[in-house]
This record gives sequence, structure tokens and C-alpha cells, in this order.
Amino acid sequence: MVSVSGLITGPLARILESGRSRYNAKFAQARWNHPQLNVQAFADHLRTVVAPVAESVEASVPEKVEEVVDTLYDISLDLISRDIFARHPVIAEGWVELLGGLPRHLAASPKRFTASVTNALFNLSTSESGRAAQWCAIMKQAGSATADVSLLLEAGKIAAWRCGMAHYRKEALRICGVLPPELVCAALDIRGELSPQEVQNVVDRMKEDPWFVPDAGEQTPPKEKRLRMAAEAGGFRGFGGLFISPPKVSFADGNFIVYDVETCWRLQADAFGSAFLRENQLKPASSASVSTAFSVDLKGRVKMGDYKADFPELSGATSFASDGTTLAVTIPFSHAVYLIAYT
Amino acid sequence: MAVIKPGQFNPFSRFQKVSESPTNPQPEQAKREFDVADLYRGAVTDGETGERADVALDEKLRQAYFWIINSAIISPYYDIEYNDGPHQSFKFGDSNSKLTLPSGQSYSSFVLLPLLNLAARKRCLLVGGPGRGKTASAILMGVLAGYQLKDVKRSIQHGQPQMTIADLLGNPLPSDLVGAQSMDDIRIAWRKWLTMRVKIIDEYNRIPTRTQSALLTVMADNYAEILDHVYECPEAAWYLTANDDAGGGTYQVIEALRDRIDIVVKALHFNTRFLKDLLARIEAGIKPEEIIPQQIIFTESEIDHANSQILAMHIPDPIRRRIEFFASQFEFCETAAEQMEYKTKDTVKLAGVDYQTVAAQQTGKDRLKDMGLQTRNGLSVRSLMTILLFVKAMTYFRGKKETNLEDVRQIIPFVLHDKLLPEPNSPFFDHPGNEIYRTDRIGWIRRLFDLSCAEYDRLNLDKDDPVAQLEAEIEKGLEGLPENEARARLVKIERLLSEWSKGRKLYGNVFEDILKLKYLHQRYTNYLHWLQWSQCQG
Repeated sequence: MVSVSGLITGPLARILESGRSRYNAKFAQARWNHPQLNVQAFADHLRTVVAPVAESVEASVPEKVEEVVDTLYDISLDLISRDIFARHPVIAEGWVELLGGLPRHLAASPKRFTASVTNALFNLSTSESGRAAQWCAIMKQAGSATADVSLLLEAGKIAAWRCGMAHYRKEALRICGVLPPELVCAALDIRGELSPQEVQNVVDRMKEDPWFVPDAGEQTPPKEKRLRMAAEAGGFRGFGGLFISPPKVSFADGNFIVYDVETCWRLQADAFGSAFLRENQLKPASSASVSTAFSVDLKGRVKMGDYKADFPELSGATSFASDGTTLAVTIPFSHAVYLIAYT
Repeated sequence: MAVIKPGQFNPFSRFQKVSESPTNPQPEQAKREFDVADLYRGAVTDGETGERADVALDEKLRQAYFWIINSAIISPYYDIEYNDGPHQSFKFGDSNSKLTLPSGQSYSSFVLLPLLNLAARKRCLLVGGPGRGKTASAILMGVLAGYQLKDVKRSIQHGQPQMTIADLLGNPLPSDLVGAQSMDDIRIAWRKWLTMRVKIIDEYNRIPTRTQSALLTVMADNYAEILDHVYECPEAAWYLTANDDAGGGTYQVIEALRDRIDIVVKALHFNTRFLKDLLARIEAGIKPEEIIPQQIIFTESEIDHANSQILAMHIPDPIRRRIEFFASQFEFCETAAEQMEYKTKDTVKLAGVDYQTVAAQQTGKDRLKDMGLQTRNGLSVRSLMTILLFVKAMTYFRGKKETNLEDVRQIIPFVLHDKLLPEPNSPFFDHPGNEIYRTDRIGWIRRLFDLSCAEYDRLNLDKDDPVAQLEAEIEKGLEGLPENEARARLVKIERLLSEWSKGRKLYGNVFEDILKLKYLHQRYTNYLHWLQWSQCQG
């Protein structure tokens, strides 16, 4: 067993020293359960991650530092036992930035806040379009807009959507209507001060147009709207994508359904990212509907009402589907789904 | 691009040591929807907001059980055996000692029963030699109930010969004693342990008799009384420990106190093959009670909720009937009295006559077959209620909706351990192969239940139980029942009694049946009287 108290200074060292037998027993138990537990990694983690967080809490809410250290010690032991910090370094970075950066939130609800931040960072880091570092920055900003942990974590859901978790879109938009406007602004990473009505206008526009990016919309001159390639999703499984063969797309029950010879997925995509949810069936249900809002011909010419644009890379499209705002197209020689929108 | 795969293995779930336990998983529904709440689910469980509220309480109870088995107890025994199909067994030695390898998930009574007691909020006695983990187990239960370890340890009442009522319950404030004009003016400093939902009495058989009586009031009626002041205690799970519960304590335990104990658990010996683990634990300084995972700690409301869910468990009628049949065997004593209702062992006891003398007068019956002759007493209503509650708790723990016969078979010996007193002079214990039951009370009671079930099957009572049919008829109600139908049922009862009176031996189950028939007969007789009176009035 390692004597961790000698490796670090500050409040963490003091607390470890005062509860030495208990912390040693916890470590021994963890080592018992996980013989591969890396002693040095744990000591380093305490010194480089937990100690600065403890110092931050000590400076702001000294009466809670012991409880915070206790929580972080337990969670750290578990995560290091599973090598999670090593495989997902963004979690440790997020601890220092967010837990250390928001000591009052952490002190108010140590376990809940740490657990939520850790899980969110993990989910963002394992999502291909998730941007964990951006989420941390937004959350730190949002933390200054509210002292309430519950409100901040709700804002975190909006921020997660903003940071690439497209499948949270519907619920995030609902939460936008519930939270205080200044918190919504922070969660959406909108810089500059907006009135409540302006915030509502932004949210309404995002509801209408999944490809609208609020920051760009409010802070830079509006782009000229035209049909453009909004996103590309999927990819060949051999290169880390989803599909074993070039997929096809259809539209059913309000969702894009993308399928190859093996699997069938539901696709959710917007300006912030894209997400696939595996469906149980191998092919879309026969009730799949076709929207007439968009069309694409064999030369790659896309039409939407009076608007048209040429996308030579989409020539020979094998399938296409539309949800009214977005056209999803597949082609014979690509494992991706191409998303066209008038935006 | 985020990929969410329904039912996908989550690396974080492996991380949760508690849920790794082979609890009793139900098939998982495939996840079909995007859910933003997933953002905060994963690696770390949230003990503050009830993020794990979706974890059923029975599952949490199983997680607690398996955590104790895997992390706290070094050498668990799987003595509560369940089989899912054929199982193997082996016999050893001249005594043909049998070892069974259960084919189903089996449990350690020393861990399981205290846990069930926590959820059922009853009174559990842990017995066994010194150093077998009785007090440690009780402390674990206190921590699982959400108390700080130091509070649990401080709340333990250590039985000792000088223990006074004041030590146990509290003191009147000295200043009030001097200045008070009436009892009402005296304030009492109640002991803190009375407020707790887990109460631990260590070595309860070392408490002086007078203090035991004060303890009895708290245990039985859930209040403490000093100088006309009453403190109402919350519903609690009790844990009492004793090194030797068979009269070896400093003081004889008063019978009423002993009767309040609902379930008895034996702390079995340490298997020396686990010495290596013990050594490692000593060297590492691991104290399980200090490191219980937050996920398995119950809040007060969770225990309340689990308790309600336990009560809602269903005991099917055929299972209930077998419990009735088993329980009916013991109270009857044919030669105790003249009138049928008084032919009980309790009559003999109240008369102060030696039961063996009276029992010897019962002739004409197969003394080996008569299960009633194996015991000195019958079962109290309290015992029956405890059986039903713990059987439900067992069903709940196993994640089942309905009790099965094996649940009953496994629970009954522990509930009746101190309730059913063996009659050592019974021919049963002299029969070859049965001598061992003089010392093995768990095995004896389980054997009794097996014999009872075999007799139940032999009598074909699952399919042909005339008393049950008559019960079903009266449960439909008497309102509007025509006179001729009521008379027909009276005749049916009389015919049945007449038939049974011809040469049928009188055993405990028949005794209970004929008294039930008498009750039914009275109900119809009174109904007919009322019917005639109302017709005259009309």
C-alpha cells in the first residue's frame, strides 16, 4: 500500500492524514478487488487532480472540503481501478477545470456534481461528434450565471447538445424554454447580452431550422441562405464508422432511417452534430414515407421548391429522403449519408 | 457522431462494483429513444439525488447481499439452498453426511436473514461463539440503514450484569428531580439509541432480569417509560446477539423477551481454508463497515418502501394451505382436556403438569408419524405472522412475484428456531437416523416441514379438501342465502364430521379441521336463527 499523504501538500494532505486508516483501508479494499490498481497512477492523480480541486474548495467553502475530498477519493479509486482516467484523459482535465473552477457548486452537492460531470465528460468523449473540452468551457461560463447545481446541470444538457450530442436536441430545446434566459445564453455559448425576447427568438429559430447556429446568427452578418451541404454522417466500419456496405436512407415516423446489409439506424443530425440509434429491425418498416419537399436527380441536382443547386458528388444517388428541412442522400461509392439543407 | 446502441455494454457499468454482483437480473428492455438524461448516467452513481431510483429496491437489497458476500464476509456458507433443476449430492463418512451442490442461486443465512430483517423491520437474534462476526454483522446493517459508523457503534447496548434501566433508557435530569413539584416537571434525558431505526443489543443474555423487562417494553410495544414519561420509538430493525442462547448467559432470558425474537441466525465457524484471505485483510487493515459503497445504503424512506413492497408480495392459496397444514400439527394434545377446544398443549402447560406424562397417555396413534408429539408446544399467532412476513421478504429478495414452496421451506426453520421446542423423549428422535435432530434444530424443523408436506400430498389435499370447499362457500357471504341452501350446508358439515368420526385417528390437522367445521356450523346455525326471526318479523 502506498502512503499517499507524503506526496502532496495543502488541504488534501491534511485530510488524508487525519483519516489515514480509513483512506488506507479504502485503498486496500480497492486493491483487493482490483489487483491491477496502479498505485503510482493513483498517487499522481491525487496530487495533480484532486489536490488542486481541494485547494479551490478550501479557498471558497472550507467547511465542505473534507466531504469533497472524501467523495473525490472514492470516485477516483473506482475510476483508476478501471483505468478510466488513463483511457479518457478528458475526465481528469474536466475535473480540474470544472470541479476546481466551480468550487461552490461542487461543495453544494459533491457526489451529485462530480458524478454528473464525470459521466457527461465520458459520454461526450466517447461520442464521435461530442466536444468535451467545449462543454467544460461552456459549463464554467454557465456556472457564473447560476449558483444552483440543478439548474446548472439542466443547462449542461443544452450545452451537451450544443457540443455535438445532436440526439439531445428535442429535450434541450424544451429545457431552453424553462431555464432563465441568461443561463440559456450561456449554455448555447451565445456571447453578448440578449434580452429575454431575443433569447426566445433564437430558440424559436433553432426549433424551425436545425442548421441554424445561434452564435453565428446573432454575432456575425447573416449568411445568404442557399442549398448547401450541411453535414456528412456515418462512414465505413473499417475506418471506425457504422456501415459495412454503402447505406440507403428513408424517412419514417419523423426520423431518418439509415440501413446497410446488416443493420438499421435512426439518424438525428443538426448544426451541432449527428447521432445514430440502432433500430431493432434490419430494414425500415414498409410504412416509410417520402417527403416531396426535396428531390435529387442522377446528376446530383438538388431541388427544393424554387431553389436548386448542383452537388456533383451526389450524382448517381442510390436513395434520398427528407424531413422537410433536410435532405439525406446516399450514393453507391460512399459509406456516408450526405445532408443537404437550405440554410 | 454519437452512437447509442440499445443494451450496449457500458464500460462504466463494469466499474460499479456493486452491480457486478450476480444478483438476479431481469431481461432488459431494448432502449428505443434518445434520452438527454443519459448525459449524466454512466461511470459514477449519484447517491444524493436518487439517480439510481430506477434501481428497484429488491435489486438494491440483492446488491447489498452480494457486496457483503463478496467483500465483507471472508468465508460465507451457502446453507439456504435452491435448485433450478437436478443437482448433485455426495455422502461422506460413516454417518453418510450429505453435501449438496445446489443448481440454483443459493444464499448464506448469516448474511441474508439479517438483511431481510432490516427490510422487514423485525427482531433478529444472532447466535454463535465469540468472534464469529455477530456484532460486526449487526453493525453492517446499521450502516446499510444510512447511519454513520460511529453512531452505530455508539448506539450498541452492551449487555452486562450491572446494566440498569437508566443505562438502557435514560435518566431524569438531576436538577428537575430536586425541584420538581410533580412527575410532569421531571424531564428525561432519553438515550439516543432509542431514536434509531436499527437497534443493536449485544449479548442480551447478560442483561439483568429487571432491565430485560424494560427492554421488553421497547421491543414489544415500541416505547420506553421512565417516571410516567413515555418515549415513542420509531419502527426499527432489531439485532440481538448471544454467545449461547440456550441458558448459558449470565442471566436467564425472560420468556416474553425470547418470544419477541422473530428470527434466529447462527454465526457459523470460520473455515480455516480462508486463512490466507484473513491474513491479507489484517495486513491491509480493511474494515468492511468503513467502506460500504454508497449505492447500497438505504434511506429511511427506501426501507419503508421496501417494507410495503414486501407486504404486497402474494402467497398463493396452495402455499398458504401447506403452511396452515404444517402449523396445525403442533398445538393439539388429545389427552389434555375433555372438551375439544381445550385439547391443547397450552392447557397442559397452564395446569402445571409434565407434558411428557400427558403425552404418554395418547395411545392408538402412530407415535412416530404424529408430528405433534415431537414438540412441547404449538405455534403462537406471532410466530405465524413472522413466518408469513419473512416468507414474503424472501420472495421479494429473490425478485419473484409469488412465493413458492421452497421459500417457505427455507425460511421456516429460522423463524421457528426458538419457537418450536422439541420434545426429546418423542419416539421420532429415537428412530435410527433421527438422533442427529436432537442437536440440529434447523435440520429438524426443515424435516418436520418436509414430513408435513409429504402427509399433505398423501391426503391429496391440494385436490380434495372438503373444508376448503366449505370455506370457499361461506366466503361468498350469507346475505341472501336461501334457507334450504343453508340447511343443505349444515347437513354437509354434519355428514363430514360423522364420516371423520368413524375410526379416523385424531391428529393436529384433523383437530383444526373439525374445529373449523364447528365454526362453520355455528355460522349457518346462527344465520338460520336470524332468518327465522326475520321471517316472523316480516
